[in-house]
Amino acid sequence: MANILSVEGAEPAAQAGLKGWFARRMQTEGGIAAFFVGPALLLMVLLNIYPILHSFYVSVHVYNLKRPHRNPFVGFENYVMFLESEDFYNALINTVIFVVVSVIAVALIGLIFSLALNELGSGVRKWAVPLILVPWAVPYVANGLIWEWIYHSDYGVLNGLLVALGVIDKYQTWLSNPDRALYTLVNAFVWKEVPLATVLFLTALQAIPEDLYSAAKVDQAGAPRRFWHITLPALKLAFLLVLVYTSIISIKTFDLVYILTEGGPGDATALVSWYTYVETFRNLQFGSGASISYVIAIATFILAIGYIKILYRPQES
Amino acid sequence: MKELGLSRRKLLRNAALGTAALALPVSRATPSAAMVKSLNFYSWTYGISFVKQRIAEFEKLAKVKINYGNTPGSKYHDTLVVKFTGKTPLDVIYMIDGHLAEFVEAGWLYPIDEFPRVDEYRKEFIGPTADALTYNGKLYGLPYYVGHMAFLYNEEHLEKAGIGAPPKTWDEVVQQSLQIKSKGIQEYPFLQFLKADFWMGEMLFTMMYSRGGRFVDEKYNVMGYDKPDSAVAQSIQWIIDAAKKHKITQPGFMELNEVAALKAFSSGTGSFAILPNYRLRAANEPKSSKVAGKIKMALIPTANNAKPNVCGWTRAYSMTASAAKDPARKAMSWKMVDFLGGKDKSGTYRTAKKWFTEFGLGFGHAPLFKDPDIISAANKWGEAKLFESQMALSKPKDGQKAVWYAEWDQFMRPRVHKAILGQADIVGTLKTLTKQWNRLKRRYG
Repeated sequence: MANILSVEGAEPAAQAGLKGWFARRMQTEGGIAAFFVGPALLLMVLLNIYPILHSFYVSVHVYNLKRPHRNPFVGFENYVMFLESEDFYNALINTVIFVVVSVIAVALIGLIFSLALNELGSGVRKWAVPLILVPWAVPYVANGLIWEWIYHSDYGVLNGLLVALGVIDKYQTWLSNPDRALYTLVNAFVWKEVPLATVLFLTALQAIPEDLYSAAKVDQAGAPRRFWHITLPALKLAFLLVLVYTSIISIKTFDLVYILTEGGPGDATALVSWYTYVETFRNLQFGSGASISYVIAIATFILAIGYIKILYRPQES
Repeated sequence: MKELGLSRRKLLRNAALGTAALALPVSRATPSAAMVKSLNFYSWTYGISFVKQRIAEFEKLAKVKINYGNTPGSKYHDTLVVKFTGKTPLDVIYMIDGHLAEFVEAGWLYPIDEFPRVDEYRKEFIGPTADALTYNGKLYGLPYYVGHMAFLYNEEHLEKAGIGAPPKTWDEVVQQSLQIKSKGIQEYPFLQFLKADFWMGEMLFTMMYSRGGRFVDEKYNVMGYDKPDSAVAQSIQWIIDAAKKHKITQPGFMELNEVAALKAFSSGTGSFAILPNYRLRAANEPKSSKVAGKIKMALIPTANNAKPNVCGWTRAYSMTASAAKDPARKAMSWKMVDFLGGKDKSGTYRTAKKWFTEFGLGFGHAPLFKDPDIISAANKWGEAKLFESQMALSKPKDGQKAVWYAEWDQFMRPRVHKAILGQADIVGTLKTLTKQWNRLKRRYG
């Protein structure tokens, strides 16, 4: 049977050489790894690394589609321009508030839900976990549209519910109130992201040996102490995952702004992602859009490294 | 013939050349167009069943397959930018006059002046249409529809409040709204929509034009826009007063978009609304409106003894530059533009006529004003003469053909919102907008 590694039609000497080299490489662990990982790596280079490098190239040029044939090299001028822009700082402050509140809310609510689910019997949990994952499975745009109906000041479900419960006496504006609008976005984001955090925490909780709790009870440790000394340390890795993932996703949040507020009212919900979008696709300034994206990517990377430094200890994991 | 300086040989040669020249466009265009198997057509989401019906007719006629795509109007600009940038094949598209400069400068559109019948069509365009579709002296499409913002009112509410005629001035809008409100007919009689999206410019320009204001002149010089008593300053102040002082505007007006405003108005919310003129038909359509038959149109209210001018616009069928790169594709694309935006064999602007009679969309062709079917349809849900009068008083947004207009428009939206919210003062905001306009003008000029 023909060897799958043979090179059809090659010169015998060359074939022997190439075949021999290839066979020798395939005898080593590194060679096999390279054989299997290589194609994926090549794809990654084409689909990820090249665009990253190209976007850096774009970011140091004027790339304005309204003047498509004038693309002079401007060094870091695009970076300086947006760093000097008031709109960018406003978007940055909004983003920091959005990220901090969202990440804390997702982590806390996810933890509470997972603790509650962990206390339930496995029969109930089997049904509860898939159900709780539903919001997470809703596409981002659909999520935005759902919340548009909920928040609408004239016919929104939220107003109807709150009036029915007697919490408010007349319909309120949620999306067009500059003091509330950003938090309404946070709420919509948290609703979508809590399920995944819950499942991650729940998985970690179920991996904690029951013996540890039994021993702690023997030592007269109350529930708070058991939680503090056993549960929380065991959740460090889950916390790391939730924090890194939620931070990245919240920094990238764009769909909710696009669907619900378009950055308004005023600039109350203009996040950095929205600012980048407007600069790139509305103003057609691809050069400065790329420069902002670069800075966001670097900031996200630094944040992720920070989380890992603080929370990740290999010996503990 | 000799006396005329023309020999027989010369005459025959010239005649042959002339015949060849006349035949050339036909012989080059027709067979090559037949070689095209498919075209890519993109529009925004409106009247899709009718669009598909026309596409099917064109496919049969031209023996070509049309790959049709669409996206909601509010996302149309951004979607097209992504498609053009990503080199998605597009041959014929809907085009918004406000994006013309931007798209031409980006190299995405192809002028249609070279095609047969274009001059004939151009002569029949109504007022602002030819100008709206022309950039640097070249025409970039045939009209799909021409529209303007219109002042609509619920006749029943006015009658219940004992109001005999719709308001003629902006002060009367306030007075009548307060009257309606005091009788408990509507809590917020003036249905305002002012989400920071595509329609915000149309709304503000309408309110400014109806107060006699201008933004920039033909050379893009700002015309007193940032003065404390400017028409735009008065318009913004009116919006603030209507919401906060008189409480005649619903509190959530800054989150309301155009479609939601139509739905609210059609469900009986609000006594007055400024909506695109074609929405009059939808608001009077019994299948979709609770107030069908009660919604009327009036000339836009005015102030400062100004004419009732409104912001108008033209939407077109345009050919892309990528389609024009291939002669066969170019010929077929023109065929489609002509089929949709031009006349049929009987000399009727068939698609435009149908858009009006079935959907209420205005047209860009003067002869249609005299068409009995159009007049009859118009009188079913309004007054044909009033439509013509308000159309004649519509003007495109000042400065929209500046290549930087869209960038300025985007800059304007959150700032006007902030002025309405009281987070910035009106004149300061207008000065910032003027400064930004001048800055962009210097950059692109």
